[in-house]
Amino acid sequence: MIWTFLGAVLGLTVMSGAVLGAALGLTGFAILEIFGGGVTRLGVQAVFNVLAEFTLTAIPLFILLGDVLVASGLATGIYKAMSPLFGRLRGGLLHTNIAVCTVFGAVSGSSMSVSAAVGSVAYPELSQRGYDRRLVVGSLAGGGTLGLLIPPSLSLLIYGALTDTSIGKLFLAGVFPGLMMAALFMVYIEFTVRRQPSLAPQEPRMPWGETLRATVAVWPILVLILAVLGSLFAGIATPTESAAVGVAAAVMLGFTMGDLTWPKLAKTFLSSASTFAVIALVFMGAVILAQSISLMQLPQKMLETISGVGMSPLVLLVVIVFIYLLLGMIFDGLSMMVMTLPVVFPLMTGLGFDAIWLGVVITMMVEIGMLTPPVGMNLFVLVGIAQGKVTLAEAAMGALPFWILLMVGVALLTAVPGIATWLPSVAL
Amino acid sequence: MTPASHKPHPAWVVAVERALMGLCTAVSAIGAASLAGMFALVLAAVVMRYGWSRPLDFTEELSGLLMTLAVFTLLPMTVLKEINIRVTVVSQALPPMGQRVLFVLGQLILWAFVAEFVRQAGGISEFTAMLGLKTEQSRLPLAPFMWTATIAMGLVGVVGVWRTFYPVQPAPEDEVHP
Repeated sequence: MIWTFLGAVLGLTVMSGAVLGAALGLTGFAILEIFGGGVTRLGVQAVFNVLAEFTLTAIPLFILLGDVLVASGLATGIYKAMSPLFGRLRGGLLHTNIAVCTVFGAVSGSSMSVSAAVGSVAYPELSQRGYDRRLVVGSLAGGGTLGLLIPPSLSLLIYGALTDTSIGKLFLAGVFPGLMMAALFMVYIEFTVRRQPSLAPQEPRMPWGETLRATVAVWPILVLILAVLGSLFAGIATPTESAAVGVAAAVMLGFTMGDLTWPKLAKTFLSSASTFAVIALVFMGAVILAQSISLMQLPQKMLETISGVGMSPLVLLVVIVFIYLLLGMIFDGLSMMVMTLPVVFPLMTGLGFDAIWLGVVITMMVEIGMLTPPVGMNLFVLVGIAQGKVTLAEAAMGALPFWILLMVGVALLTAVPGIATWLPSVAL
Repeated sequence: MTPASHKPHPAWVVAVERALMGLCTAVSAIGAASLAGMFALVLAAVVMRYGWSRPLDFTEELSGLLMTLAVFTLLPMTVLKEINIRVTVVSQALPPMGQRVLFVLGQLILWAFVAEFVRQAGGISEFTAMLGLKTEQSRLPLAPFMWTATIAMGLVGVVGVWRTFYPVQPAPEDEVHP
């Protein structure tokens, strides 16, 4: 009865096109009112309690860090510095796209910030040089997803805050899967261009000495990585503090090395505040829904049902991955994660899945959602950057191989969970 | 942000729109200041801890409260500018009349959510003020934060009602994609 009610009310409110946070919250209120004996106050109290948690204060700061990076124009210098090195490979600057996205992913927690920062530099340059536009957009959309996986990650941060899982461990767990995906993307580019050389022109090779001298210019981003990840993993700063240190460092570098100005910084600050408020409303609704679901012990009941049916954990994982694929078509990634965690987390950890591993797998599903039309946010960003020269359908087709590779990544993580769990187990 | 309909609005509608914009801007300023304060506070805490070996013991509690304040005070503007996340796959497949009906239904959901939230948050704020509740460590009074959050949420409701009758399309520069 309660499941039918939950499904029907959630489906109706969300699909009506209501503000998503309100749809989630009202569903939670309805459950608390009807099935919980009118305890809607518990939902509101939970919102106040969760919002006041110090861990969550890292979210607006990481959003600001990503936006400052985009506004500072630092991507141009980094791209130029890394191009000679990766341009030596078959596929030339397409590899640079992935490499720069990987490096930017290590300072920005948002997939779209990385896509926007690197895409705005790379797309005009590569299309002018005669690279296949579809492959350029695909590599940038795929590379952008690394922003969510490689720490710091907004997705892992929200996951940790909502499920009370160590954010430090989650961040460490994202390192190897992130590097693995970057390597898979580069291997794919190498093979594709070898098979079809017309997709990417051969870049002129600079002597090794010059190449290495050019690469030294990546130091600003290395300073940022050290400020954000170094302070966090060395135990010097909490995630919130490392974000604040990162913002301060990014602002300083933006003013001295990039083209950041005071008006740009003020505009960035306001847009970050808006983005944060939009996420926060979804978050509030999800907290109320989570409170109602937890109070009604729905995950426990679901666990009992699954045990009764005899469904194996692996089959359930496949079902959940499939559900995320479907949801990724209509929800943006973070909203999808926030609204499903109240059920998925207790269910999966109850079946014995590791909470850290699950965080990484869900983040990869969020990334896949970023590439899935019609609501593939990374695709939107790149279609915007391409200024009408690439349609959404072409961008989606270009990103398809990277979408498949992310699915391969999920399969690899399932087969070898140590890819995610080994580093946090030895480092913290 | 542009009006959803191309008909010019009467003067009183324009005046209300301007008043709401002014009010939401003022309330958002509190949110933006809270976020800036939070950033400065966290940075100062790091500097004090490692630079002067004098950690600030109120950072965590005050940052949490500033964040709560920021969340609620930034919300009215997001509703006024119509930039919140909505799932529009069904709506987009409908003719204009169907879209309008679904939009109103969506707004009613927003009204109901906000009304219940404000009702309960008001009760919690009243209780907090009555007992003079404070944070555990730094003894900061909680009531002013709770009341501001409740009032800001009330403003979300007012703006939501207004937008039901006078909807707008979000301006491209205002759209956010988290």
